[in-house]
Amino acid sequence: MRVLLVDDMAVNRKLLRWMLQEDEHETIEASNGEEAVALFESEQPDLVLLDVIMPVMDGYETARVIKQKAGERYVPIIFLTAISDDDALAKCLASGGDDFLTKPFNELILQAKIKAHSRIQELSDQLNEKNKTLMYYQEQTQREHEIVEHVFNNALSESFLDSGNLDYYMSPMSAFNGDVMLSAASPSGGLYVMLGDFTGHGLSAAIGALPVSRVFFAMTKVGASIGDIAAEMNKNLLNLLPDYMFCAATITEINETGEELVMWCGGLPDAVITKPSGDVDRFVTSMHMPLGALDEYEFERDVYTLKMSQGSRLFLHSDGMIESTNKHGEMFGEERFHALFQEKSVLASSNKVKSIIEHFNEYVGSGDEQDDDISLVALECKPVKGVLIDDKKDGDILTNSPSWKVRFEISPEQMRAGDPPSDILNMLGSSAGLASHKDYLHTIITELYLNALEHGVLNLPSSLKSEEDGFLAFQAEKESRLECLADGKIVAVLSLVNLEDRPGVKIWIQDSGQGFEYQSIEAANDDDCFGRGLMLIRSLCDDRLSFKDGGRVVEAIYSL
Amino acid sequence: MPISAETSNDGKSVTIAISGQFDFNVVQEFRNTYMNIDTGQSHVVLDMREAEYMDSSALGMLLNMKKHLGVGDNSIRIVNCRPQVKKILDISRFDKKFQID
Repeated sequence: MRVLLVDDMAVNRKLLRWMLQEDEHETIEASNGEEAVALFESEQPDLVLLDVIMPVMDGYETARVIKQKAGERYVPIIFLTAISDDDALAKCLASGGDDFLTKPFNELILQAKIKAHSRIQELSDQLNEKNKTLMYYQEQTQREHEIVEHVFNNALSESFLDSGNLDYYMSPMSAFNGDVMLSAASPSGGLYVMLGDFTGHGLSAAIGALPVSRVFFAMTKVGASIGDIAAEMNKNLLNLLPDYMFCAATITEINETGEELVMWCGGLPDAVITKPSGDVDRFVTSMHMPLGALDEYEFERDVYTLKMSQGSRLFLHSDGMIESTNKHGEMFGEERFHALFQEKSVLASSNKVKSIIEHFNEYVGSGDEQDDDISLVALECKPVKGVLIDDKKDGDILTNSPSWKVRFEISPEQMRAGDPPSDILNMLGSSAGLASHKDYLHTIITELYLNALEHGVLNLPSSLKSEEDGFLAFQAEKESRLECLADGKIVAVLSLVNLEDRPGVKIWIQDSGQGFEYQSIEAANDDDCFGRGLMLIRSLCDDRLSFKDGGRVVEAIYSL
Repeated sequence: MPISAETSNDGKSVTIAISGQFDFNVVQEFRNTYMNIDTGQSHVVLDMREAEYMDSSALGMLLNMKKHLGVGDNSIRIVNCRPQVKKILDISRFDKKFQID
């Protein structure tokens, strides 16, 4: 050990130096407090032997300064003193001393004290080291949590949460929620909602929310069925999660009118359906195992289809709520939960979720930490207000984009083999501003192309279609004529044009046929099975449809 | 298969599900699904959930089906239409002949 000896009497220092060197300690010496402080800083001793009464700076003051400079490190200070009255000794300890040694010095006692304090120092050093490591890990974990939180927020932000049909309360037990709620508008105008509860809580449980949300958003976007969504999630979780982890979930879709609910229920507590009056109507019991539990071939995708009356509601909740305990350790329980729906204040409230949660919080009391993630979701059965796509934006993009004109020439070979309208659309659909019009442009181009092919190039009379089985005859005739078609062509020219106040797409199609009476292919009444194509085009193009050259050329302009 | 038919457990409804492009290319297949339905027993539901597109010949095929089944207006339900499909049905005023949800 490196020991700092502080005494104004050289003889005392000498004596101590001998004793210490015998024990192979290294010594440095100071004759007053000021020197001692300077040496303490420059030499960093492990232990200080300090006289009390010295010139310049006395022992008490020196001890205070040294302890302050030592900071977190434990550097024992042993006072050397001739006095033995209690007050003076107490003052030594109060000023920062750790022990004292009375003069005249006893070598054995000095050695014993140094040993004892070096043991404490060792422990203290170890503790400091461990604290540092812990601090490092804590900071690292916190940084990682921040990153993960960011990823989660982004992954779940796609959720369409401000639908007027949806009300919810979610309270995670820790920073990360093992319960996940997702919702999305369906392409057919309805609304998908999912509530999932992963085994456990915290980050390890929340991690499953990522693959689940990816599958959810990808599949709801294309309008997949509830059973298919459940099967795909199951497959993903099975591959990803360890065997003991899975996700209890209910996936449901309400249709546009709010009259039909389709539900896949796997492992969540019974869902509650209330009548428009608010009274409990019935319970929907889970019929499946949780997601991620069964192999693909065992998985069951059957769903409930429920007819709902306007104003009725579906309530989904995770087990966190019913398993919560009050301060006496009694569970909230399903019975109490179900009874809440009949509470006067809940029946009267328009915000059922809020009102139920208020009652629930009253029961479990405040202050106690939550034992699990708590979620409650209510879906009201009424017409779904969808997200409107703002197609005006496309118009703005196009006003500023370069004009274009594209010409396509379609040969008999291509008429037989391919699907020219789709090819044309695939090419143009990626251009800025056309994407959201792709479906209607597809309809227009297909109808015009089929007319040019069937009535122009192939010269088929549409009167064939007027009989009930005429469709089959028409198709057979079309195929055989197409098969032996040697020459003939269809030319399509598409261009970006300016209508009065908006851009538009002009579709010009010419066929090599004889021309035809286009009036003859337009439906005369509601029950005619043919001739609806032109009506569709007229409607989609606001009547900007014209035939030229005896029906060989047709032109339609679609407003963007 | 782009077109499939399924009878409900109680036999009271037949759901015909159409996926992908609903146009002339599936005329035969579509016809096969409804040829043997006994409309005295069950009503017909067309599930358009997975239909990405329909053209005017599909409209004709729907009317043909209605004629063949010999049922009255609004007795065949068309459900889960995507906006583009819904628009085609709306433009053609098919709501006069079919119950469109």
